[in-house]
Amino acid sequence: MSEEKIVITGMGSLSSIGNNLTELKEALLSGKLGSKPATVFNTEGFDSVVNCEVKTFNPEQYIKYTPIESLGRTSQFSIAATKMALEDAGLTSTALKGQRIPVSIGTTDGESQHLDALAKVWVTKGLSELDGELVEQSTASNLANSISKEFGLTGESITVSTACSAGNYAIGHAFDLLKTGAANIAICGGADAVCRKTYSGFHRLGTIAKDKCQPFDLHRNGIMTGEGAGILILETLSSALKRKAHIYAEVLGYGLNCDAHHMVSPNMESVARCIRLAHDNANISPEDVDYICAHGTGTIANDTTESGAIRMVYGETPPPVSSIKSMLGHTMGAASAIASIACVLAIENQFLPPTINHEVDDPACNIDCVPNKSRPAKVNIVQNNGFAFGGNNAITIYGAYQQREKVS
Amino acid sequence: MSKEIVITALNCVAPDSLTVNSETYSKNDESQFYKTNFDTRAILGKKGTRSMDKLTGLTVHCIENLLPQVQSQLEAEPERIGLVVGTAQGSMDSIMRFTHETLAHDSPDYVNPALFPNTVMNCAAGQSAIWHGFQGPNATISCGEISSFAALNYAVSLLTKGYVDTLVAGGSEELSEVNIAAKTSLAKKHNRFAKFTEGSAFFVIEANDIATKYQRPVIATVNSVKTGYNPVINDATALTELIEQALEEANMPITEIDMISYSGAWPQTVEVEQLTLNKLLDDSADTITKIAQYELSGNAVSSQNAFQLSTVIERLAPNQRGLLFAQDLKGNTGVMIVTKHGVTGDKL
Repeated sequence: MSEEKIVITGMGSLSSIGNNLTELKEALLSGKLGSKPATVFNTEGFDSVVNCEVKTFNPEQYIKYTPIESLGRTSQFSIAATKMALEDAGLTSTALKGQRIPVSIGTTDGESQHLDALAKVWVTKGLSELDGELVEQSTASNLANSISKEFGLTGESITVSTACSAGNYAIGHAFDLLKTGAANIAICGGADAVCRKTYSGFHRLGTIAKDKCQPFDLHRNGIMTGEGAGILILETLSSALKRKAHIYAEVLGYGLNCDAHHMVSPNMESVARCIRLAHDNANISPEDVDYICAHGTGTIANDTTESGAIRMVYGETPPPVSSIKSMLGHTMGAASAIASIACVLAIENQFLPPTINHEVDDPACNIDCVPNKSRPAKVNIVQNNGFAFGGNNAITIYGAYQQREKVS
Repeated sequence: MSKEIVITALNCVAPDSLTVNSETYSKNDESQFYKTNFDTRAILGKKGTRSMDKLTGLTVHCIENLLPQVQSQLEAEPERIGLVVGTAQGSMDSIMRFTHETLAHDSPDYVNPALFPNTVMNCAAGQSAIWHGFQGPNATISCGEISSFAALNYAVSLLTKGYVDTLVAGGSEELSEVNIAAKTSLAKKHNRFAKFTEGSAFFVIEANDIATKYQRPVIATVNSVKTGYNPVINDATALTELIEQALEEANMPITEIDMISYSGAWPQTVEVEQLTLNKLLDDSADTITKIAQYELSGNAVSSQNAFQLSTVIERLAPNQRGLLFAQDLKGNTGVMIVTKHGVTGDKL
């Protein structure tokens, strides 16, 4: 018996380049830059911090049942993006309440601003003065739990903490739950908030770009830290058809592996292996892929390893490879989830998101990075790369639903 | 479950108060915090451990003791063995200490960059893969005090779908300076003198045909594992329904269960766990052995369910069945049903 197809019927997103799906689409089409001087985390001791923050975020607009003051910024993002995704999918809160709908959310830093605040208490008053309420709110599981609680869902509620590929992990897990018949609808994606800890770490490593992130550019100088959330509603095809829901695209499969090599430096052979795993799982060949949404952080180590791995699998003529991190920065655990939404928008609207801030090709990368301007294109199948500290690689594959139906 | 999933090895690192089949260390009995005297550099050696935090050290070490069971497979197909670590918050100590250092000195750059990778929650999983060479899927799952059930559930999902042949899955918890302070504040908030435990427990878990292929005797079959969420945390309905679904999947009436283990970690959650038991069992079920893990070893948070599983596997007689469940303060719920096999050996 053939398994059910799994499709995407709703999406919601918050990032520095848009507080909803329409804004995200327009930003990806126009090549919008999301960076601004930092305002939402403690930057004491640093000069002129520029990063990619979510602007004019009003949690009351999205959160109805949970007291706002009981939620950290990342949980607020998670609920907000979920609310938008559910509305987009045509699912009402009343219809969902009490259902065993699973929630699977990826993150790097969880409730990072609360953890920052606890560290500040430690410095100023001492460890014995930590507030139990803040400690409880700072636990990572709150990202998924806050969604389950707000919408009254009883399905599994897990936070996947595999750092910067966590969004893809979380989507992959939801895909499996639907494939095995554990549910008909799943909420998945990723969320993170900018924080002092992560900015300081990358700053100390010398990998923070001064003013702009330039993936695959000869003059790149690092990452821009960012924040946001990307939530996708995954659904079995039969459930989507029964509801007459709009079907954005199909989740074709995904691949996971581990470099088992170095905590911070990526490994080319291992990344290439992960690409092949994802292709096998999705039952596609490299020549089927029209576009690769890169991990593309804008560090030399990532860009050369990633483009090298792509060439190992695709040969001399890989499809276009762009990095949306040039626009919205590195949103950590949300990155591959927001990138998944970008992939689906690329399929839905038949265009390739650009790599902005591009000046000079890096010959060591030798790829078509869709420089500076989005490009109309036939986009049927896309590959979305997510890599992380710990060598945690996760790659998802999405395909146009209607076109594939016609082909088969 | 569409494949028979089995446990073929387990290891537990815990304070000696823990009555599981563990490698033991003496406890620190000055407080309600039961710490191992685990010293990363003394146990794992000086190479590659200079910057390693305790959570990662415990995890690397706990898994190291399972390596003899999987060595031939690891040499032949390292990409077919993976790792799933349940941890509620990674090393909270490493995370907050790093930020503390950026605030405590004249410049935020006066931090040790080698400590930055410790501040991501997947550090223990990533380092364990590096140390032991597991190239398969490597996941870190955070689900509060249900993190180990969630890790095992995630592992079963990957195994069932064939992404990997064998997974080492379980949970780890450290009691470092910051964690102790954080847990003290939590106990204060909930008005309770609480016992917390650190430690790590991991299981080799795989489909039965893989166990046969590598000639690993089966210790227990996993008949079901599920996690869920209870939006009304003092109501037993969600937890009861989750357990009923697990019993249905295992195709077992509750009367066929020989031993029941629950977490018992907090007064509020014990109440829900007890209510659930009352709903599930009628008076005739008094003969079933019931174990509250908290009474045995305190609250091991991320490792709590992994300790429950260790305890149940140790205490079940061959062919007996165990039902394990728990709910945490946030409303996370989990359940697992296992059948012990007729394994004999030093450890069991």
